[in-house]
Amino acid sequence: MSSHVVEWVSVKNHSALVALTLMVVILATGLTLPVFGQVYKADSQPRIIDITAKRFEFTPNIIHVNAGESIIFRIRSEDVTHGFYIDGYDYHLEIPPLSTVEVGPMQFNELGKLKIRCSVTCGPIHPFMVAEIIVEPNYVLPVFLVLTAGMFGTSVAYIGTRPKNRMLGISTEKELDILRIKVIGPVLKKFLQWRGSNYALLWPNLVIFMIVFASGFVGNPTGNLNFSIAVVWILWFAAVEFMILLGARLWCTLCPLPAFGEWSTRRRLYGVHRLKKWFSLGRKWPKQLDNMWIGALSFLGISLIVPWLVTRPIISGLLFVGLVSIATIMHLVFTKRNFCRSICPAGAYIGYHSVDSLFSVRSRDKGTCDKHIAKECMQGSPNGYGCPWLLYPGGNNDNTFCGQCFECLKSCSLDNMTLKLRMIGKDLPSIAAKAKGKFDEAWMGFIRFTLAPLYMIVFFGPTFWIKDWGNMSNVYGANWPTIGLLTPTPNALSNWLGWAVIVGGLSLAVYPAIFYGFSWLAKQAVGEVKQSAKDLFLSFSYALAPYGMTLWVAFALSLIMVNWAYPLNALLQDPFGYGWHLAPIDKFTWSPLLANMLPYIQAPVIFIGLAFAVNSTYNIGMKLFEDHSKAMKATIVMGVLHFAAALIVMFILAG
Amino acid sequence: MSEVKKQTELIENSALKDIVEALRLQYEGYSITRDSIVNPLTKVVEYIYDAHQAHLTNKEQCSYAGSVLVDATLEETHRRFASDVAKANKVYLAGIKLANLVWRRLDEVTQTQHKTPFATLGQITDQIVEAACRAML
Amino acid sequence: MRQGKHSIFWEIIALGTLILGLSFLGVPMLDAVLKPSPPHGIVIRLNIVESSGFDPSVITVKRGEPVKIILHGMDVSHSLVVPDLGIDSGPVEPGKEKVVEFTPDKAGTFVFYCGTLCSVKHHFMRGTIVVEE
Ligand SMILES: [Cu+2]
Ligand SMILES: [Cu+2]
Repeated sequence: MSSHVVEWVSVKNHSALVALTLMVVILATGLTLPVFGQVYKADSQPRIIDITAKRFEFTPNIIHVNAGESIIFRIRSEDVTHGFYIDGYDYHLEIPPLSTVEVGPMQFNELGKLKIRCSVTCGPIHPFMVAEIIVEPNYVLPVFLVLTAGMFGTSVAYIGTRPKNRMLGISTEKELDILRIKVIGPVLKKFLQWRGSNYALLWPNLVIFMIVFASGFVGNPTGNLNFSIAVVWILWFAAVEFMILLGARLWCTLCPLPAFGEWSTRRRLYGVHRLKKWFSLGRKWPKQLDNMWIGALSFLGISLIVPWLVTRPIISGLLFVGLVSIATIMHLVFTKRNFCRSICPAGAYIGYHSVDSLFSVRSRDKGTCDKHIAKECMQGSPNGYGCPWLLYPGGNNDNTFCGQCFECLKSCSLDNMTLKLRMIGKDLPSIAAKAKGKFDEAWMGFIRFTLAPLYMIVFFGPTFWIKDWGNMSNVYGANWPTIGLLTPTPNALSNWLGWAVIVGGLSLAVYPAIFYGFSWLAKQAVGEVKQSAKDLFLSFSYALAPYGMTLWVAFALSLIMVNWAYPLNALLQDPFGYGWHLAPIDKFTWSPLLANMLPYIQAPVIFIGLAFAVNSTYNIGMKLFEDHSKAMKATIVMGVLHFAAALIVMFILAG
Repeated sequence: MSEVKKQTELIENSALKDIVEALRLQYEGYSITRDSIVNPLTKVVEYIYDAHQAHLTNKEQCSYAGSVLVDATLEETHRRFASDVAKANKVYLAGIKLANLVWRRLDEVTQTQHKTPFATLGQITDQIVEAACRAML
Repeated sequence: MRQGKHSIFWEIIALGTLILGLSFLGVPMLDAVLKPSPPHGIVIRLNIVESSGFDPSVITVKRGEPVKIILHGMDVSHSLVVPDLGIDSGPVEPGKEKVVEFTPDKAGTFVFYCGTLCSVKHHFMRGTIVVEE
């Protein structure tokens, strides 16, 4: 086993080792930055800072204080009761309506930025009611910027050492057959080849979905007290990003949305129907729609209503009813998982990032599959269905549309299908090299990549107007009986259009245009190659798969670390926000976990993403040009864009 | 008429030869009993009968019937997986041949309607299975 | 088809669990059972008037018998004030409970209202408590 590890990570080149070591130093510096905080002496005369709180903003929203300065905050609420909480400080203040509460004198010895959060539920957007304290001098931002530059520099230096088929020092060619690991392997294999395994894995989520439906329609109208919001949009939304990294489309294994349709067409919950006869019209899904376009655009569409979706239970309830209905109807018409492949918004982005997962379902030996005439993984056998995702699993090299239903593990009579652990970016270069005409996946990448920093600003930034535009200035939570409260005013609608233009414009046009510009420059830098600038644009866009994933991981961290108490209470105590106490323990009090440390955890995650982006671009370049210096030139040009994106995120985190 | 009959016999003989050969390979190292021949072949015939009755398409169903034979033979030897591709292919192709044969007979019967398909089914099973048993035991 | 041997058995088990799973859709109907209601307790949910205000907004108690009102905040902070009986719960945070205990000493019908500004229609957030002889 240990010799395996050595094989995987061995770095033969000394300069590569130096570059990688420097990267680790940069990550460690980012993580340990808060240690360098300094205790200043307090002034004698405290400064009073007046803050007004109203749904859902603090004014001023960015407060500059000097390190060590003695501060008294005087907070006044202009409407309902709000709370006042500063990351890392143990003040849970309640500000009653129309009254003023003072806190302090207190002093700040931190290096950079702290967030003020509302700690008393004051309405739907409450979890995202945020202001910022910037402790001057703000050393963190310049340090972050320098570290970003260092990361970019070391990444470029690393690829300068001609690493072949490697991602940051780890081999992308080696794979570990998970089902052959001692003890775990056989148990897992036994489980996955049991026909009931899918149903058993899915069942808990079926129960959860039922509670989501119920709570979405008749639960507490306030989002963070309602299961459909707290569990789906805080816990699930965050967890999916980690699931992609560790388990690719593992969510699709567990997802109940298409289950009703699939069970109906199969006329079976557990077994394989003896006859290969489907309860379905058996139509063919149109070829021109067999791609990611609808999924990508529906993900964007969801983002256009995201301030409502993630705060109003009824909007979530309706969305899920809609998705289940579409999925079921599509199964009854098209038989297989065309909904999951082409329509599902989550399926689209999970699939897009899954190419960079550590996990995959693959054949042990492709030669065996080629020789095997029966191709049971496609046509099915008495032990398992043919691939419902319309793949040829035995020859598959791409996670994008592998929904990990594990039917091929069951149907294969040669025991040739398995689960494999591999390094991030194994399949990416060959997928990217075949990108010709695949605009759908490129745009999925742009949409995801643009929306991650935008979500950081919208949900956890201090800027109120953008939240307000997206939220259409609505202060009401809503379930089915109170859905009328969501009727927007004309003015709010026109603001929302502004929001839609910003979100849609940035992700569909502005960033892709910039990306194309850099691709054109890369083409100029590379010189004579057979690929056009458009080819490079499409191929290099795949570097956003790992990069975008890390940005979303960073976002997910802030989502779950700040708001973990809401989903836990909804899961354990009070799913409908009715005041139930199901578990015999106290409800968890909302109190962010290590929130003052968040930027120092998020920044290194993004540094890793930047390194992934640079290394992926290089690997893609090598696949395209088969020439180190050309790949290197292209990588430096594209790398500058990725570097700039990281700098922007640093401004969001610490500026 | 006799020309057609000859051809049919030829096909049947070649199918039988393939089945016997495939089963011999598949059961190498295991004891061959009457059951281990009868059960898998009957399963294929029954499957094709049901598929034919359900008006499913020939090609897809016969190809699937090949997998049915593979699985049934593995079951007779208490295995979950086949040992190698070559053997699995042989059994699979033999299964398809058998399935096609049965399918064609059923087609004929339904067209001419001299006999009920079910009676024919019994006949085919008897003929083929008995022939296989004679050849192997 | 090995897996098919017990397939009918397993299909039935699966169908049973499916129905069990689907039945969770009805969990909100268990509210009467699952909400905490100690003896002589009355649960009042506090909503803004635009949703449903005090829920319930009419409660009946008996003179001389101790009453325990459990207030549960649903959306924003509210409170319960009954001036005639000298009761003021103070603010109740959303998602939290506050218990008000008292023994009414006079019979009659009394108005209660919300004492914490909660929405533009805050002043309409009212209810009545009937103290029976
Ligand atoms: Cu607030
Ligand atoms: Cu109120």
